[in-house]
Amino acid sequence: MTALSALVIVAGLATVGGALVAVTGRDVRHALAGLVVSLAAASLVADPLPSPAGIGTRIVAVLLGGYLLSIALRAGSTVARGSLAGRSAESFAAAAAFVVGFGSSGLGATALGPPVAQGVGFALLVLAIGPVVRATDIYRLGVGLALLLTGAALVRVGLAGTPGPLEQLAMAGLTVGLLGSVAILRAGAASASGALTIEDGSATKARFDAHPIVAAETKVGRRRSVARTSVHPAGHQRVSLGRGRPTPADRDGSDAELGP
Amino acid sequence: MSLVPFLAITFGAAAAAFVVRHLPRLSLAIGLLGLLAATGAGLTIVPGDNLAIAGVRGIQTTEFGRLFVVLGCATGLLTVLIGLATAWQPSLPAALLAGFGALGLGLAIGDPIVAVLVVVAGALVGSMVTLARPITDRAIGVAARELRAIAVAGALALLGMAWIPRPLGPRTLPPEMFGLAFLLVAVAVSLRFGALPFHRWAARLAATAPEIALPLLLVWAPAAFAVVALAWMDRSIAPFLVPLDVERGIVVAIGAASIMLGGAAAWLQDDLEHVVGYSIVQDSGFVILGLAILDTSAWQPTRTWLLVFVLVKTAFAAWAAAVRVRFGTRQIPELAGWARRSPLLGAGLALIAVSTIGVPGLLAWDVRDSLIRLTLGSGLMHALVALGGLLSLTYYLRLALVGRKPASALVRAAPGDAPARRGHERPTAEESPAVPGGGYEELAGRQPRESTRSLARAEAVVARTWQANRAPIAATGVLLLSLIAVAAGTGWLDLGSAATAAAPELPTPGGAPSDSGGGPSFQPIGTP
Repeated sequence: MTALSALVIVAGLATVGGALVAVTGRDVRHALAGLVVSLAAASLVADPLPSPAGIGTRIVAVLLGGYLLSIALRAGSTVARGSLAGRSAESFAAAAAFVVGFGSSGLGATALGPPVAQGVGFALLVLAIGPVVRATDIYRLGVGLALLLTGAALVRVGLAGTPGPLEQLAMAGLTVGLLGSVAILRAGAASASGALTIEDGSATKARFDAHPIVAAETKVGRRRSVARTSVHPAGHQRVSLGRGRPTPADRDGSDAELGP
Repeated sequence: MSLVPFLAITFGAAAAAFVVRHLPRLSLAIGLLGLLAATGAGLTIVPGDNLAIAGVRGIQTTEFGRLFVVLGCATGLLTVLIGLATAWQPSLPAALLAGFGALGLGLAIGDPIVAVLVVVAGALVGSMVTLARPITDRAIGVAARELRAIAVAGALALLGMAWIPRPLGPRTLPPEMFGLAFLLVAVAVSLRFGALPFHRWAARLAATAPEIALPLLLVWAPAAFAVVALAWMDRSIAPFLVPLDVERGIVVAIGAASIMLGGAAAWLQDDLEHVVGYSIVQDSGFVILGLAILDTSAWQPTRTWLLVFVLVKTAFAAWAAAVRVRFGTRQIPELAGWARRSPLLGAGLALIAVSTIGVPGLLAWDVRDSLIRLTLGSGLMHALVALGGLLSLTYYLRLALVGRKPASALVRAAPGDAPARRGHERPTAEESPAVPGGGYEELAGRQPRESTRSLARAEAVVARTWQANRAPIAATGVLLLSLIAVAAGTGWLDLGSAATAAAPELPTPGGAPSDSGGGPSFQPIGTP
């Protein structure tokens, strides 16, 4: 094993380890530190290594983005939800994804980059799925998006080789742009109502806006299904189907989110 | 390198406007001057100029990129003025400058992966314009969705493009891999436009974001993304003549569904902003069709339509903002008689409709027809999708018919198009029910000061004149945007020749020929 290969492996481990801390950490400061380590180490996962200027640019961009996020994190709670799956489950999932990525190096063709890069990229993509698909707060979504884009960039390194200086510069700009945008959103959320949750982030709520069903009750088997109608101040009708009592939003029609 | 002044102006002015945002008038002045200077700098861009980064030629200006940024900055300037006269969004000038700077740079980069990174970064920064004050949880939620859509689309495109890099060199791929890579990039573009079935986030964004910011968020940034994707397909997929029937079928289905269902959805909506959002979804369907053609013949009509599309939708979004603020509602049934009250806005909508659809022989009609024909041939499907495209008429006609009805009380109470005779007369609350505290007055943060000094007096007169004439100013701005759109849609602006220009060359160390890699040689689409 050459020194360069060892460096790539160490950088890959740091990238995945940092990403695990970022996704599962319950203290946002620790999670942010993990994210910064992960994104910074990702710039070293390439064979041959990028130019020192390229690596330096990426690391400075990560530090700048992390600093912007840390400013935004000063307002509001420092407690994050972490991963519902737990650290062990996330670790196993990342390890499995690494094996798949490493083993399928090149994705059907000759790889121009190290297999480790593709493995680490796959691991990051798997770790990003939860926060991106089921993000409950701005910060967690930001972590997921940063890992998603970095993972995609690492798969690209594994497939097509070491990025050139212009690509390093563009990736640095993207990192600052993404983390800065998340910081602005986080600060905006803290100043709006203090709630950092993403409103109606769940896709599982069934809403039927098109057909005005008026106070119908049906019995399906032994369970009781209730159709509720509320009238929005703007004149729309909002109907939701479900069991149990109407929610406050159903009663006062305060939810203006009406789809087509 | 003629691109450098443009980049320096856009990024410099954006940063300056952002830094001094606590001084609203200074920030606005920097933004307006920046957009004006950027338009001028865009005009001086010389197509074919090269710029080397670390010894690698990776940036090359093109005629298409030049036209894109010039039109973007010019319409952006008009958009800011309309926003100032209607619903002001303080971060709009900085977002426009940063966005168009990034889009201009992205369109000049030959390596599609780098170009995607730059375009995505610009879109991310530009998306922050959705946070209109006062910031609400709902606005945060919508901005978060926008952020997610941009980043996910960027990641998909990055993966797809990296799979088939150019030059291919020692790599050879089975045909299925070409198909998957093509599908990833096409889905990324569809997601970015909010095409069906990825329209949910775009509809919510259209309902929540400031109307005046919609062109940047839903039109210009996705259009630049599509241009980069099209260039990649031209170089990496089309030359190899791989049969991709299934993948192309999926992409055609997305495009056709967007055209037909997007038009129907826009017709059914009662909310003006939803109409604008779904009309964007509908017209983006033609771009998606263009991606599915995978032939040299797709290059010119797709890129021409992209230019028409961005101009028309910018004008339509500005029209919606002007109507909403003038009449104090965005519910179409409450807008009875709007065209009688504001003939300028009525003329604007008519021009927008003409430039979107056109008639046979005009540019907009011809490029739409050729995109459908190149994708679906001349059979039944061609007729169906062409009819779906004509569904645009339904919502334009609905708006026009509502405008011709007898004016409702709400519309009667709104100011007309006639300018105020004296600048010092301020509109009463009844005359301007929808714009309390908006525009210049809010920007200044105080009443225009009364002073004996001539400069202060002139400032006060300008402020009062502006305040008293916001409605006709906004309507005139919309009319100007509509005229630009109609010039594009009818072919008076020579978009076709710019659209045929070749994409930027791939990065080459030391200026070697760009296609010296191991892949098969081919003539890039659009090269004369």
